[in-house]
Amino acid sequence: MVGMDSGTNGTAPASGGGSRGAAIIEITDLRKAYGATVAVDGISLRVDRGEVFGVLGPNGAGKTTTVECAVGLRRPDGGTVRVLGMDPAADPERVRRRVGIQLQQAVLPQRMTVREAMAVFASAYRGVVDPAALLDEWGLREHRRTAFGKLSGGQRQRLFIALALLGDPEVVVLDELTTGLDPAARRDTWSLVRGLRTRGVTVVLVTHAMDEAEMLCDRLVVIDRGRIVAEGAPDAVRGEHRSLETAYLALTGTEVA
Amino acid sequence: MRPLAVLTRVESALLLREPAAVLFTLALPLVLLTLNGAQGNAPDPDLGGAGVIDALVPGYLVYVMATSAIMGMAETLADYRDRGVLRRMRISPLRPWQILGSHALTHLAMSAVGAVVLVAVAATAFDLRLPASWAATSTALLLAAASTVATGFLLAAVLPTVRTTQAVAAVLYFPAIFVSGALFPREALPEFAQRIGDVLPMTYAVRALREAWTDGVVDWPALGILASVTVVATPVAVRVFRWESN
Repeated sequence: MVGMDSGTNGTAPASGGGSRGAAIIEITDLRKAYGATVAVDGISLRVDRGEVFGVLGPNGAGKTTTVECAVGLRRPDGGTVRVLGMDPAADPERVRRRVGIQLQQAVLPQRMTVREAMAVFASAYRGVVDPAALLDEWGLREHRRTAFGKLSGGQRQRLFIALALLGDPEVVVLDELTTGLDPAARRDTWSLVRGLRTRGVTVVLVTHAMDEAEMLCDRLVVIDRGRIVAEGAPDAVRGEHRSLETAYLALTGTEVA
Repeated sequence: MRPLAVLTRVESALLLREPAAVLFTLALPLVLLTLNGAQGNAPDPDLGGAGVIDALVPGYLVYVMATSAIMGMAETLADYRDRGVLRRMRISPLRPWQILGSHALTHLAMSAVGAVVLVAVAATAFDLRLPASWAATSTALLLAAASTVATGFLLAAVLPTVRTTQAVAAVLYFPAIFVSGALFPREALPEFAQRIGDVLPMTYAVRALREAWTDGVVDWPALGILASVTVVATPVAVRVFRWESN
């Protein structure tokens, strides 16, 4: 079971500079429609080990659908998805065992305590990581008897990151992590994401907040109407524009106020 | 198995933090028992020689099971779906059968506790006679429990939101607990109410349990209906169950 790192993708040479090695996620020509609505229209991207990779775009651009296909929650209409060499549509349970996921609009029962949540999700991972140690690390020890409904927005996000780390994953997907948080809590959450990177965890950060992407991401893609309209390091995507935000508004065809 | 055990423990703890749900399930039959217990439990020829308490308690047991599974479990699952809890659990390595199984076990445990309390009170304070046949009574209890849990899953699977689940559960469940004989012996009901009750599985759960308890009779047709409900509703529920609201 362990150490099967001989996937065919593993030895492919990294394109461009900074070749960190194997692709953690490789998506080629992904397509997904809901009825007549095309959500993802031919997206290809590659996430390398150890980086913070941003997936940017306005609401409804296809970001979440892309991520959902990557973790096997949805079956693509076309294209290929490989996560750690596995096909999430064919083997979702195995992918979810090795990928930590925080998806948008996911919550826990109001009366479930922090400790209970950790116990429930830890049981699914056959006890890879000690939940108590994670609670210490993410500053939740004194809140372990607090009900989910009584946690602040920032505490909830720390709990969700801790839950995502229970399986000691190589890659963590964070979807709209800071949406709805106040500025202080957002900055705290950013430092948590940097902490993940320092631990060597690959992070896929899905967001529509440009400042966040600029602060955190090594590389990013901008998605609009199901297609990639720009990709590269934040500096490269910003190009001649004043900020990533104005570049983004120009790319996605939105008027700059 | 361990995730199922942990989930069941936590879901049970969450259920006990909803005092209204627990009271509604456990307290109502105790109140009715006390009101009816004033008349004593003397053998009554109109009830086939059983006492009033003997005739009522099997129905109350069905009430406890139905309330827990249909009102409690179906509504909890719909609420979890509406608010995204099921979505969060689904993206973990928790298996679907572990998630749904923990809800079934939680509500079966709640029903078991309710049944033990009810029978203990009825036996010590109101002279309830013990089952005429333990084997027939246990079989009826098992099938009644299985069919109510299956019905609860079916409701949770086919109804889109908490609101519709509450509405449909109320429209189905409130008339059902009256016309099925769960709260009052069917003999006391008007003819048309008995005819409505004839089409409800709950009626057969009450009938099978009461006949087993008071007369030691195995009511095969009633047990067959309960088994059929379980066998049909469970795969349909599994097939159409949705983990996300739209």
